[in-house]
Parts: sequence; C-alpha cells; structure tokens
Amino acid sequence: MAGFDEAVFFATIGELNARLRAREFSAEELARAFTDRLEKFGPRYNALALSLRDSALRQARKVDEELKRGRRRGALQGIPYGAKDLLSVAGRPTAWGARPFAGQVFDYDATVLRKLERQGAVLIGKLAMVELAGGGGYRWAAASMTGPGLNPWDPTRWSGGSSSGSGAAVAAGLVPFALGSETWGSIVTPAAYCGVTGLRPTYGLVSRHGAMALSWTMDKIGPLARSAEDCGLVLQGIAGGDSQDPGSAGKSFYYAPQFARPLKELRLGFAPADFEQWAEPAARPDFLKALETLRGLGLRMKETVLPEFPYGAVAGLIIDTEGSAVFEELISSGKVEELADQKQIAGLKAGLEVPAKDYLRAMRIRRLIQQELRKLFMDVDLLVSPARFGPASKISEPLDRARSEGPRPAQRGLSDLGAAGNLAGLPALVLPCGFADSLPIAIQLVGRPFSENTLLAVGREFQRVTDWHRRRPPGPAGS
Amino acid sequence: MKLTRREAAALLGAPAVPALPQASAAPAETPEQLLAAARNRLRRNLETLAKTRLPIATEPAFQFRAS
Repeated sequence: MAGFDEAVFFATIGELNARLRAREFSAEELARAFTDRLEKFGPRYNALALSLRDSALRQARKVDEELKRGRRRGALQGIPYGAKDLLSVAGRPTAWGARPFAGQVFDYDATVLRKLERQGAVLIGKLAMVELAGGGGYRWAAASMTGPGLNPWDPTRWSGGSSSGSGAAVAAGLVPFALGSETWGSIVTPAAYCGVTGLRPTYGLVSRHGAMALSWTMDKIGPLARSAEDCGLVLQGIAGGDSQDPGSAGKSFYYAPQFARPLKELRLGFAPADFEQWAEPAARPDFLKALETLRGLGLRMKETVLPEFPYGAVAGLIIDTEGSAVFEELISSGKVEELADQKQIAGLKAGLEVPAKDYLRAMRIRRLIQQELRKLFMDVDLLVSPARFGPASKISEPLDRARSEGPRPAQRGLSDLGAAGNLAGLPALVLPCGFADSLPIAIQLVGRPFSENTLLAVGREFQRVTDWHRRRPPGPAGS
Repeated sequence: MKLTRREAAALLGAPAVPALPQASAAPAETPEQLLAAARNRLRRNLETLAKTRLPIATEPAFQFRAS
C-alpha cells in the first residue's frame, strides 16, 4: 500500500496520471485514498451525497489490470472524480439534492459518466447540490437535503450553488475533479467561491442525457478542477454528440490549446466599471491585478459594454417557466412542500402561471440577445469580468440580500455577463485570481460558442504566471 | 466520556457549523406572502420584457429539428 502525502490530494490530473504510469501507486490505492478522504471530510462541508466506494474500487482494479497489459486510455485513466447528484448512476440513488426525490433510482448511467468510465476515470461519489439546482429561486444556502454547502476556506461561508459539493470537494482535495452543471451561475459561482477552476461549456457541447433537467434550453454540464489544463482534459472526455440529448450540438472537443491563436492577436473586452465599481471594495485590488496580468500576457485590451437588454429578467422568466414545467407533477402533487426552502416552493408554484405568450416573448428577446452578442464578438475575441463581485456569502445571511456597499453603479459594464452568457449559450472559464477577506475570488473569461480552446489557452497562460489555483484552504482537509 | 444515546445522536448529526436561525434578518413570511412575492417578481419581469421592442420576424430562440 502506497503512503499518500497531502500533495497527492491537490495534484493535477497530469501529475496523478504520470505517477500512476510510473507505478508509484496503483489506481486502486489512489481510489481508496480519495474515497477515504471524501467519506471523512465530505460531510464536514456537507459536500457528499453518496459514497460509491465499492463500484469505485471495482473500476480502479479494472484500470490496474489494463495498465498492467499496457492498455492506455488517456489522461483520465485511473483518476478518481465526483459527480453532482443530478447525474444518474444506474441502480444507485439520485436525489437531485431534494427530499421529495430521496429514494429515486434510475436504471441507466448519465452519458457523461459512461464516457468517463470508458476512459478509465473512477467515479468515487455523488456530490451534494442545491435542491433541484435552485429551480424556483432560493433564499438560503441551506436549500438542500444535505444542508448548506460549507466553504473549505471558511465553513461559516457558502460554497456556492448549485454545484455546492463539486466546488467544495475539489477545493478541499477530496476529488481531483468534479462534474457540475450550470443553468445560470451554478458552475461559475461555486468555482469562484471555492477558489477552483471551472468551465461552463457551450450549450449543446456536452450531453445532458441522464441529468436532471431544470431548463431544457439553458442546462449545461461541465468540470470543476485544479487548473484550466485539467478542465480541458475533462471536457475532451465528456464532450461529443449524443442522439439521446435533443439539445446536443453534435460536436466533439479536442483539447489543443497549442493550436489557439497567439495571445497577442486576441482582443479582450472588459469594462473598468466591473472592476472599479461593481466589485466589492475588498476584492478590487486583486481583480485589478488580474486585469494587469492578462494585459501583461500580451492580450489586446478593449473597453466594452454589453448591448442593452433586460438579461436578468429574460433569464429568470425562462428558467422559472421551464423549471416549473419540468416539476409540474411535483408541484401539483403537493410534494413540493417537502423542499427545504420556502421561497423556492413559492417560486416553483408561481412559475406554472406564466402565460405561453410571455415565455415566448422572453425566448424572442433571447434571439435578439444572441444576435447582438454575435456582433459584439466581431470586435472582441473574449470578454473578462469578475466571476462574482465579491467572496462567498455567509451561510447565515439570505442570498437575496440587497447589495450592501453603496448605491448601484451608474455604468452597467459587463455586470450582466452571467445572464447574457447563459442565455446565448456561451462558454465561460473561471480562474481564481486572489483573495478578499481571506476568501478566494475569481475572474471569468467568456468567448464565442465553441471557443473553449481559446479560453483554455488564455487560462493556461494566466495560471502559468500566477499560483492562485495552487492555493489550498486551511483547516482539516487543506492543511 | 460516556454519552447518552440522545447526546451521541446529536453529535453524529451535527453539521460542522451550527445551524443558524434563518429568520435572523427579517420576520418569517407565510407561504401565502412568499407566493405573492414570487408572483410580483414574475410580474415585474414581464413588465420589463414588455418594454423591449420586438421585430415581428423574430423567432423564439429554440429550434426543432425533424429527425
């Protein structure tokens, strides 16, 4: 049995893969060590929904047999990982973070999990999430059957939602990478709050077959990991067309940042107001340094504003309407009352009352948004803004608390980039870029549809000259 | 140290951070008040959307593919 030093739990996929190939430890030993750690520390952060120890060790033994025979399946072979509990694993509970679905069992695996299994990755656990991925809107971090997602950097703070367990588990070194999902902010927020790298892929690039639906037209699945490089490797493993997902774009993805355009040719759109006015005061110094770092990499900076649209209202209406339609039976049966968050219950009920004409109006405005953003991306190649304007909120405070510091900034800048990017199905890469109040903060890069390699190339360079993504949280799992 | 069953159960079930009262900032709202608030939020969204001028040829942003 190999002895595992703490550094192993914070190693990148590439580092772990190299050590596996060098026979420093076996895939089974690695899976056992990570599973022990996930079971021990996962509950401390309310990050673990279900340990999959037995199936993980079986899969890891299979990988060891293959490695002995010289069969190489790529970078993910033998790498343990966790998956948000909205992805189905055949024969095991998939609760979607919600008490009404606590006993739910599917008889098939989600496509992304099947793809990862074929490449030899080892699923060691299902990770906690906000109930129903937050459909209906929630007020409290505690909107989950596993309790509030606690942040490894400070357990009085939220780990973000709705992929709460995915963010916390990667940050605390409980898994090398995790799968999360985003409809509006659910990868970006936990990645930013937990200080890990997150990638929201272009809508349609990754199959959602076997994933809980919240919004058929906005749901995406993507990785949270230790680096941009790791996100690229995982995306390559999970992307691809799938006839079982009606939203599938039918495209593959090969991680090849070396073929991206030189950084000095790329035009990076930004809005000073995001960094100087929208950002919370404690976060501004490190956000501004991140901007300077990007400039120092040779990117051509260009001041930009988003076209004027009611992005938040459009995204909110679409998600409310589609989410309530998805969960109509839950609502009409009365079982919706078993959810933990009262605001969410009310939001789901109200969403059923939206007239079709209003939903269609929102979807028509969305078309205009898509067209105008396409024009914006003729002037820039990618956009940068704070992923969240400040660090993780306190779990004791309501999430819908109004902005506390001063009046709303006069200039919009790119402050609506989260809603805009999700409405247009654009990819986003979250990069840790510093600290505010001893908590991680992050920037996000957003690009044209299917421009993941460009985002990852910039992210890789940013992480070559910074070490924010290498920082570990204090406390039991990070010291 | 010997624990009673109740003490042991409380320890096993205790989160790393004690649960804090959710209603610390404002008095609890009733389900009816929350539903009314959710409807108001939707109504405000609809009013905002109504201000956007839509060319008649604009199709909704979803596609149906025959297969």
